[in-house]
Amino acid sequence: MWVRRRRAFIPAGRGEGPRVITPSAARGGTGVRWLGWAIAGLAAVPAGFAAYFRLQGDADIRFDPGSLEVLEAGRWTHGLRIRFRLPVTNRGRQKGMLYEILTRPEYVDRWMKDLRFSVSVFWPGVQETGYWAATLLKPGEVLPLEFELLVTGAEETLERLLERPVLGLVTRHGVIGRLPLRWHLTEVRIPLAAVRDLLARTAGGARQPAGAGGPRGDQPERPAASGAGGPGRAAPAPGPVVTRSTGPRRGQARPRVLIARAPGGPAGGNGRDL
Amino acid sequence: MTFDVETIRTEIITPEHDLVDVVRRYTRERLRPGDVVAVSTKIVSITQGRLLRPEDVRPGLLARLVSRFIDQEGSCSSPHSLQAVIERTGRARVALAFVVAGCTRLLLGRSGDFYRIAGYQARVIDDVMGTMPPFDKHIILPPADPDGVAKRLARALGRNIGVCIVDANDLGRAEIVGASPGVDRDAVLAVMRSNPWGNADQQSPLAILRPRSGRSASA
Repeated sequence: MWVRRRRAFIPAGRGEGPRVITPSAARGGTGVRWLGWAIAGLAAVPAGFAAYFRLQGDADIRFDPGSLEVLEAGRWTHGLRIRFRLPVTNRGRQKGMLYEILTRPEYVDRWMKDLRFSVSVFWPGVQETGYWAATLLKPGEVLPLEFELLVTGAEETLERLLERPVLGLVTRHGVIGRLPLRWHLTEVRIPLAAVRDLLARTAGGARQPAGAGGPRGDQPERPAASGAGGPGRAAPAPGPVVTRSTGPRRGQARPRVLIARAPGGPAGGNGRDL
Repeated sequence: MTFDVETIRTEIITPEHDLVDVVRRYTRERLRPGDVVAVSTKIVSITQGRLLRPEDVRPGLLARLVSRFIDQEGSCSSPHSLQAVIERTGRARVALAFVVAGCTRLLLGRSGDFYRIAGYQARVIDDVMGTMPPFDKHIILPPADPDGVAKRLARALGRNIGVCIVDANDLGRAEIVGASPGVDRDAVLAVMRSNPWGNADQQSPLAILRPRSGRSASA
């Protein structure tokens, strides 16, 4: 609401015109006004920082479970190996460090209790030992990471597992960007129908008997992260039955894929550019 | 004075190693009088156990604020490493470095003042990913008492052998953080600027610098 200001006149000095002051100033309101300005100035500093930070953005590194692609499947007595590609993308505006990747299977039921899982992560052509070394991702950069899941256990349990529609994994990855370390969980669903298809395509059946080349169930399985598989590849499957996907993206050995950034795009959008 | 540089590949050095043993073992029967042994700051820090996991560092407000303004190529661009610097250098000095560097950047277009004012800890710290596995997930703090370490190493290596502790990277920046008496720091710096050790997984944290001229590099 506007209030018309009353004006007060004070006697002018020699050679000066009349000086006009407002009633609030006459009551010492100048100090209050300055205090107001000071508070406004102090508030502007954090507001300015907040605006700058908002404009600057941060790294946003996420897995894209919608682009998961099963690449290989291997089966031997008491063992199953699945290799799949799961791209990770920096959808943010700043560089970000993919600090750590940890993966575990989702617990389904008690009948799984005698299965043992191990997961290794590979970046073909760059990191091939199964150990994830912290890596910096530029904005818009996609890493076509490959995971190798090794499952061992009783035959009946493995068969029962393979009959399921999907196998769930939970991936936890740490990111350091402009903000401190934060962890993200991603639920990944491996379509076991694709795994069954790959296994069925194998000539001569899906399995070798124990002692015919593949490790026996009572032998300690060879870790998938032995790094002895040659450039870009993990260690070869413990058993001889290995089928590779012939999908359209198979064999595109591009360790780093830089694509146009899709700001705020849905998960899965960037992965299709692989 | 110029040097010929021979880099030495070693095993992965861990906090369980003794630095004097490592340097003596890998330079044995290779040294000649007048040589200078360059030792990477990383293995000095690692053998001193000066490693931190980012999970163990809780960045405060100042670290979160200042790190936002540091180029992401720099070691202090992550809030964790900057917090580690603040804990060792002090809030006041880092805040002063931030304000002065901000002013000189805006008014004079000059960069690098933050590191000059914030000091040794800020310049030499290695952020996560700055070191090869298995220390890629650690912040490597600068070595403690680098001059003392260099002196002890020089004593252990014998007469007329100089030792310097060098921080070098692929960005063309190098710093002699410690040296035994008599080492020509400028001459060593000129050689180490090209980072003959490499910044990837070369795993060669030692180098022997052999003077090309007849003059000795060490006292």
